[in-house]
Amino acid sequence: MALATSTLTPAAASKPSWNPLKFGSTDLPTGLLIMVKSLALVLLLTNHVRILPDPWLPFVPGVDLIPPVLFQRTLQTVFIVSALAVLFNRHVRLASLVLGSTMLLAVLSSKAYYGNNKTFCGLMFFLTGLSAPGTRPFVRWQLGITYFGAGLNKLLDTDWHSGVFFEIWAVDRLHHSWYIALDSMLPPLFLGRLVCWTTIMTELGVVPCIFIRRLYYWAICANILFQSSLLLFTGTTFTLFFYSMTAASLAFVNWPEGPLHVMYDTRRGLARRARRTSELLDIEGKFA
Amino acid sequence: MRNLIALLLFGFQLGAIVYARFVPTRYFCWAPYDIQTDYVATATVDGNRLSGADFRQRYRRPARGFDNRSPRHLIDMFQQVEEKRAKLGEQARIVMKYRVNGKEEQEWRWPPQH
Repeated sequence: MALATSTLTPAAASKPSWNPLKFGSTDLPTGLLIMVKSLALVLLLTNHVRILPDPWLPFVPGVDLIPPVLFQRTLQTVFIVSALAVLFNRHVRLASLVLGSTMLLAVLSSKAYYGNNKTFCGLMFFLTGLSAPGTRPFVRWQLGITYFGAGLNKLLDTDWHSGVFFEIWAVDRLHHSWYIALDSMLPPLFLGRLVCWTTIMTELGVVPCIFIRRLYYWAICANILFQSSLLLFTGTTFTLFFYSMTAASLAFVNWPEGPLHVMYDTRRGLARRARRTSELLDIEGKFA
Repeated sequence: MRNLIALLLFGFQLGAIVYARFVPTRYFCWAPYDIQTDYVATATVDGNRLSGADFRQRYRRPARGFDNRSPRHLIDMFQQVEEKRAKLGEQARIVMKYRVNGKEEQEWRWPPQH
């Protein structure tokens, strides 16, 4: 029997690495760091910068007095620089704050760009940038408010009570073949009502799980399963919504800070191979 | 200070969730994909009917399509564009026919009919 141990090296913790796969060299909690890096990568890979707007019917009066090209180019430049900074461990907290502010400013400056998904993603960056030792768990609270708002709005909507909303969406817009087939075998609106009420109960039911520590496990499970079901059923990520909502689950995870002990049997080839693979993937150099 | 900024943000959102109960719009209250609006709109500016491309350029929306939020968001955009353009001396007429969640057809016109 052998013991493999991971250790934290003080040098790695003090000097930020340019390696985007290193997560131990900044002052952000590892869970939040993985979250903002994942989202920064999504923003870059989906080329989100191309849809950042010029000011058009802004929510904040006066923004449209700024020359549109100057506004848009500035927004795009700051957006890319701060996303790259997050990815490459350069002043991650500040870069996250700037990236979030850029997205929120974009949302406020154009009703054509406005969307819940962009607002939520911007808030994930902004609140992570705002987080510091001693502050409240902002990201978790934000997820709770988002689910509460979404659930309450549906709960007070008669088309969600009756199932009409989902029936129209699945049949007329998504033309979902298995939904249509199943729906035809059931009483009218039964399936629509079932999905609508399941959605309402999930969205409102997850709220207490988000705020009560011993229910975090259920918050993570419900959040990821619910968002994944939406993705699989509709075939869309709702721009940034799927990525941002699932990534927010990382705010509930306490990453291990101390050494991790892994017991394994040296006589077993599979265990030895697993150790070699782990060492190959151990970019942080924590696996002794 | 950080806590205060975050609390103000959360307070704003909770306010928006409550405010949404009293108005037809659904801005900043976390109501994504809660309403299906399908619509067809036509616009005439200074007597000339806009083509599909012109319509999209003017309103940043297609003349026919779907929106996954309150129809009031579409109306807001059309109305605010025309309120701004009216100051430049342009006279536009818009007719939008729309259905909310597949129900009976409704109509919205600009300028408002009294």
